[in-house]
Amino acid sequence: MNETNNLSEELTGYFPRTRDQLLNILHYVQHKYGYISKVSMQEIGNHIKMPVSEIYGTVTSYSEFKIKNPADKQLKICTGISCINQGNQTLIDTIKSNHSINTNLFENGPINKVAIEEIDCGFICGVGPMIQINQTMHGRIKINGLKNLLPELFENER
Amino acid sequence: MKDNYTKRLLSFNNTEDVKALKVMVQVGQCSNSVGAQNILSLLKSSNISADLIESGCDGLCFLAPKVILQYSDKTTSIFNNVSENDVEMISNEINSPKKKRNTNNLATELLNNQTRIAMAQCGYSDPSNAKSYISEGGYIGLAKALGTKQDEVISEIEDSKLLGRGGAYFPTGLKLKAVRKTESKSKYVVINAEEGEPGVFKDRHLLEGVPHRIIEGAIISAYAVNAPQIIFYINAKAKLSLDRLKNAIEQCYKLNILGQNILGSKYSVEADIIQGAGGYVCGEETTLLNTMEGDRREPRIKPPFPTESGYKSSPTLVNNCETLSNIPFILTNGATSFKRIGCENAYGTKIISLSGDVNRPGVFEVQMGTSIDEIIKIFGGGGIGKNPENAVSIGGPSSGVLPHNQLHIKIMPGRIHETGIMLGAGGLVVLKDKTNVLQFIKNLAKYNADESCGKCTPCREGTPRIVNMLEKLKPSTDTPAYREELSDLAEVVSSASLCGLGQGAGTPIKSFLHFWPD
Repeated sequence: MNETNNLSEELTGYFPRTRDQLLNILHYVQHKYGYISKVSMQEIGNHIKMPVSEIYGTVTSYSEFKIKNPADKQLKICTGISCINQGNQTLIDTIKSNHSINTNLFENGPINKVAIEEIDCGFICGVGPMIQINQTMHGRIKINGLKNLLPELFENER
Repeated sequence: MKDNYTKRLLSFNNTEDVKALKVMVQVGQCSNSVGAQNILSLLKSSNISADLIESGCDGLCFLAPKVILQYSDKTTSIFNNVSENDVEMISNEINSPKKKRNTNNLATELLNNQTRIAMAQCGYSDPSNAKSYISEGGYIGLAKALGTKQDEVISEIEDSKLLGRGGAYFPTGLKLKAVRKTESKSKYVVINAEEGEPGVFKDRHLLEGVPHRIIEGAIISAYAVNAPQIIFYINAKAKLSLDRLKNAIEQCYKLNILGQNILGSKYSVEADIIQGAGGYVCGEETTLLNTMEGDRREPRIKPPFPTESGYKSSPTLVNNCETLSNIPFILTNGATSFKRIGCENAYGTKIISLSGDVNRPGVFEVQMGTSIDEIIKIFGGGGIGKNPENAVSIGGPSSGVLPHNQLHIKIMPGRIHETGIMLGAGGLVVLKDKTNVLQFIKNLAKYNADESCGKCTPCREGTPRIVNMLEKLKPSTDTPAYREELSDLAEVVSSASLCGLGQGAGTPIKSFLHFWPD
């Protein structure tokens, strides 16, 4: 429970107790813990006087917020309308065939594994196709480029 | 005679020492993904005798990463597609410049062919330095505005016939007037930089390259409607834009361009940033306001319009980044000069985000009334393929796809074809001749179904049903009756939904049925 006590103190320190702070608070919590747990939601609810159910509703309506502990490593593949055209399907197929991993969206993957996520758009369409490894975006990714990047990502998985 | 505000502004200038050579590395979210940051750090660590500036990108994405040397006589040397191996050559050039400049004709030509108002100096100025923006004529529009009455500022913008560039093309002057007219203790100006439409990346370039122009436009509008608070709403994925904007706002506070009694006037204004959390529908203005207030991302019923009751039920002016970036030009040069650009009833420029199967993807600012064909050929260098007969998706998932024989159509605000195809936010995705248009339309429909917030039943239930019907559309099922049913469904979704997402969700289907009858 130490963790949540800290959170409630921090919220009191950093954020006014008003509902319009919700988005800022959620970003803060996700940045800190990597996801927004039920316990965190309760703390947030106490702080800004908002029912947990409503916070849950808000959190889950955004694609950026996670409610489960995310995997240590994340591989995101852009499936935006521009990347689709520039051959991102070949990238997805390569990953599937090389690593026997199900690439269907399983975003909140298990801990210590690589989670593979298909994202709507990375908004760097001028240099597509794009993949993102953890926080770093890689543009103009062709098969060879992908094959160079994958070993680093999967080194502990083999 | 210069007014006091302009004098005050120009007084910031004299401390600036001009070095003989400026070295600009264009670092943006796009160019970072192909190694621009790496080039910058390599140049930093190599021993060079010049100012090293981290600028935004100029929009020529296909040439990134790019390094530009600007000499004291304003001539430039441009290095395109720079790799780690080129860094030594560039630092040699910096330390002992050759007489002959390395002018890249293509880059210069592409920039000269554009009409740059919102994107002027983007990529060639230092986004982290307000003083350098001022030395390029920045914040003069604000100084002029502060020297005139608020109603006159509004009538100047109204005269220019500037239309909102976020996709709806509502007259900016009317919006300003409505907020000004509404009496209230508190008023807000909200800057919509959510830009969640796949295939559009223009606001990011503006925020990364010339954040001060957006801030200037925002302060002018806030002054015009007498709002004491500006709020920037930035897309969650645009991390670099957020950093650059934060930095720019801090500098404005230091120079008293923001804060109490700005530039010595009686007007005070504060600025704040909120980071979004993803979602196409958040770009819709009432959804944006719900999001900011801590609610689910769902649109509100209009009326009341945000101009009467918006953020926290106060009158709120919601404007797109690109719209605001046009306002400093109008105030500095007057509405008449703005109306010389573009074509009748559609003055000014539009920033086009060009991507997909095209030789030269990037962001290009062109005059209203330019044809799609011209954009793809002149700027995009034509489509990819031996004998390209490219279809073009215009306006993203809320608009449709035009076949290659319709590309003579000119870009204009609002509808550009009877099927409901709109220019929208200006995203053009070129499809290869081989590309299966049906597959592409399916992808758009799936995207709309995923993004539907679920508030309106026709959109929540109708969009997955459209996907389902498209999946089943095969040569054997492709009968006139089936097509009619699909068309009716698209019509219902479009006409019975609250916000732009639902209203636009039927358009890709309608355009497909219209242009590809077999």
